[in-house]
Amino acid sequence: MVCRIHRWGLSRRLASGAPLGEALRRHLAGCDRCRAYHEQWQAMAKRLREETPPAGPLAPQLSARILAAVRSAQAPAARPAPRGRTIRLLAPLAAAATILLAVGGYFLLPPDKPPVDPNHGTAVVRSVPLPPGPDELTQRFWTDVERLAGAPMADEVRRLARDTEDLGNSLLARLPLDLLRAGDGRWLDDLLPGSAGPAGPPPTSGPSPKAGRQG
Amino acid sequence: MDARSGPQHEAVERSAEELAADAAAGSSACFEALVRLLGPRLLRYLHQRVRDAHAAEDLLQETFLKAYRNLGRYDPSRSFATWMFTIATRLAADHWRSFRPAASIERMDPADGGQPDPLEAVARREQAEGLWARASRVLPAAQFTALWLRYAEEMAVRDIAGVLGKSVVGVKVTLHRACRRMLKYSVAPAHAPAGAPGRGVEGAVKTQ
Repeated sequence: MVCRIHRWGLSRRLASGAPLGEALRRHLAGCDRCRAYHEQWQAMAKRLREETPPAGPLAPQLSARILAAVRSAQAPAARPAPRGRTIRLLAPLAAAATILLAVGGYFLLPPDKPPVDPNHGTAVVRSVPLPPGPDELTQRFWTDVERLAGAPMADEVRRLARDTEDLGNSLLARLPLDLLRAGDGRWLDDLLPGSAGPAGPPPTSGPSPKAGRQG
Repeated sequence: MDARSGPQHEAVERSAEELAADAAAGSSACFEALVRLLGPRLLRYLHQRVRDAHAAEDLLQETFLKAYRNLGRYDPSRSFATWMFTIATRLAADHWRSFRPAASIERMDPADGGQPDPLEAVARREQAEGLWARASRVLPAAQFTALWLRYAEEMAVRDIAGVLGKSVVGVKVTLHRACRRMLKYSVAPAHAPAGAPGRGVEGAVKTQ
C-alpha cells in the first residue's frame, strides 16, 4: 500500500514537473521496485519527447485551402453580452424583494410555537444512538468508500480501501495474544463481524470486513 | 475579411492571443498568421489522433473554420492555443465516433495483409512501431490526448485540464493511468487488442 501511495505521488509530481518531496526521495532510496518504476517512467517521458515528430510548416495548398474556406465563411460572431451585466441589474431587485417578503412575513404571520411535550427529555435521551458495533462500522466504512469513490479517482479509492482492509487484518494477526482480549476477558475476535463462536482462538489472518459487507 | 493589419511578418511576431483579438476585430492577416503559427502543431496532433493524413487535414480545416466563426466567444484571458486544441480534440472525437470501423481497418499495416498468422503480424508491428503509435493504439482517447499535450506539446497540467474538460487532479490521474498502461505495454508489449481499449473507447472521454 505504501508503494502505491508513493507511486501516485511520483506520478503527480512528474506530471506537474514539481521536484520530488523529502518523503518520496527517502522511499525511493529504500525501495528497489519504486526506484525502477521511477526510472522507467523518466526513460519513457524522455523517449516520448524524443520521438515527437517535428511540426513542419503547413503545405502551401493546405494553408490556401483553409484560408479560402475561412474567407467564404461568415464573419466572426460578435461576442455575446456578458451574463454578469444582467445579474448586476437584477441583483438589487431580488434583494429588495427578499427583504420585503421577510419583513412582511414576520409581521403578518401569527406566531407558531410548538406544544411542549412533557416527555421531551426522555425521548431525546432514548433517541441517542448507541455506539456502532463492528458490523455497523464495517458497513459504514464501505458506504463511505462507495461515496468517496466518485470520478476521477474511483479505482484508486477502492484500491486504497482494499489495501487498508488488508493492512488492518495483517496488523490484527501480528498483535500479541494478550492484547486480543477485551476488558471482560472475551476474545476481541468475538466482537468482530463474522466471528465463529464466543470462545474461538485469536484470528490468524483476521476476518474480512469486505466479506461481511458482501454477505 | 478585411486586411486591416500591417505586414504579415509583424503579425507573426505577436502572441497568439493578440493575433486572435485582432482577427476577431476583422483582420484577415492576423488570422492567416494564426494559421501559420498554430496550424503545424494542430496538424501534428490531429494526425497522431486519427492516424490518417487526409482526415487530419480535413479536421484542421474544420478546426480553423470553427474557430473563425466563434472568435467572438474566445476569452482572451485564456491561452488561444489551448482553445484551439480544445476545438481540435472535440472534432477528432466526433470524427472517431463517425468513422471508427473504417479507421480500425485503415490502421492495419498493409504489409500484414497476407500473413497467415495474425499474432506474428501483431508482434512484428509492435517491434517496428514508435512509442506514440503504441500510445495511440493502447491508450483510451483521453489518456492519449493528455499524454500528447503534456510530453509533445509541453502544455501545463492546468491547460490540459481546460482542453479535456477535467479538473487538474483529474488530468494527473489520467496521466498516471496513461503512464502505468504505457509502462505495462512497454515491458510486456504483447498483446493489446488493436482498437480495444484504445480507440474503441474513443467516445468514453468523460469516463476516464
